[in-house]
Amino acid sequence: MNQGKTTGNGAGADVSYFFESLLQDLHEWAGRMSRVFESREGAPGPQELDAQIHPLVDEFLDRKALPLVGAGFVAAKDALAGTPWHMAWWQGSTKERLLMLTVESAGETYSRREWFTVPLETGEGHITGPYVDFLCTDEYTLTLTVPVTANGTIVGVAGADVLVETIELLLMDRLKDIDPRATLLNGSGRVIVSADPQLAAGALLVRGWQGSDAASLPVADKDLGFDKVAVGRCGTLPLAIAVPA
Amino acid sequence: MPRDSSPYQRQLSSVFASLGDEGRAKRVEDRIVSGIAAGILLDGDRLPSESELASSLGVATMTAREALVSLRARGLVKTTRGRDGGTFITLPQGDRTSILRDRLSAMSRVELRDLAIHYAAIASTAAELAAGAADEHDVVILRQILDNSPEGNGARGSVVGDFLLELAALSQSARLTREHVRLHTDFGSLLALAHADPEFDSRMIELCGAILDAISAMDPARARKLVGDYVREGVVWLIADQARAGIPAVKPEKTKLERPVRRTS
Repeated sequence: MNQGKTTGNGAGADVSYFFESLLQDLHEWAGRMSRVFESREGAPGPQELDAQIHPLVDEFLDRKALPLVGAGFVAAKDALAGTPWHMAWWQGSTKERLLMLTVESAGETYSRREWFTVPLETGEGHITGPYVDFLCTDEYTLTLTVPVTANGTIVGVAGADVLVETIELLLMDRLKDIDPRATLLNGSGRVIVSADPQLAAGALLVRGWQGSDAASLPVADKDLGFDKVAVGRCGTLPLAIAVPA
Repeated sequence: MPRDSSPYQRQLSSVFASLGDEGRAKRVEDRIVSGIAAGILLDGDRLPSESELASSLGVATMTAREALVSLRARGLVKTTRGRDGGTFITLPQGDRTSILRDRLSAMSRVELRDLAIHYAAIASTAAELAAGAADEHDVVILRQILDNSPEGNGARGSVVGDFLLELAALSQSARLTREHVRLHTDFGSLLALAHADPEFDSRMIELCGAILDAISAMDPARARKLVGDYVREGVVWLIADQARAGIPAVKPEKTKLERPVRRTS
């Protein structure tokens, strides 16, 4: 089925499309956030930013396409006037505002998180997780983030949280169509969702697949009943679909 | 009253057990006090507004207001008006130690050990799972927590507390992580007393280094054992501290947390 190359058609393409279109929506959304910065002289303060970002977030969370558990904007250090750190994030069905009690706790909270640092460093969109998000959702989560640029500088990230169980509900049948033991992997080779009942979300299945061109790769766990998987990349995304080889 | 004590009956009665007659405002108040005791809320921190607090805790605004009035009366928060106004945490001498010591002195050894067993069950299982699931990147993040440690950064919680929380999340279980967070404000806040002792703190940071080595070597059994060692050391320190402070006297006036007052001698 997967010849160690990209999952170019059928169900594999559906899985790729799912994430590509969400990232694309995020990029488009981030562009609208850029205009909040570019439409004025100097950087906005946190309250002004919140007032302008809030309707954008509401609209994004209301999209019918995919149930998101939270979304918002997280400022790069010193990108806003009057505060080093700021997080404008809303979540849940009631779109509850995520509370950060102090500026320092906000900085400590997100400044070293992968969903924040990677888009800032690479200038590219990023998919973080699956991970237990004890800062925001308190659930097993996948976070998609893209950089927000204004006048050529990155001013922060726009992002959305999706529960891993949402991904499971939406993509399980697609994976089963590929293979009864097909597994969607993240960039570190961790299971996001698998058709194979043995494989829990979060388990490490294949290490280092991104740096390898081999047709099949050894699995990390010895007790699965198969030693190797063929890894099909999901386009240019840091995702792949693995099938026992 | 005689009761059927079959396991099913016991489970059933836990479902329908009284929620307690404490008012909701009191529960909001207790939440905030335990946040202070756990070092999550520090002197000078701004609390959310009444309406934000109410919506976040799922209570009526009036209830949140009532809780704030009571916290103000206890001198734990202060409200200022004006543009930069709001409600702020005020801790006498900027110190939560006295709240914690009151709480510790009101606990029996049996209760303390039982709490520790619960905490150890969660934390060591999380460590065991993390050892099977952590990748190189996770190890780097954990290493940063231990390395970036000393002075300054530690105000909002101990290095060890941050390390164990991160480790709990690496179990890949949201339930375990939530339970760890809950117990951390409970037992972990008492351990903050032990971590204020530099000798204990540095020894435990070293122990976390060994835990990290076990995670990195993907050795679940060793990770589990070392976390258990940490909790045991913590309990011994706390009990020794109780003893140092003399026979713990129960001080009903000063028992600020919701714990029932117990005789400890």
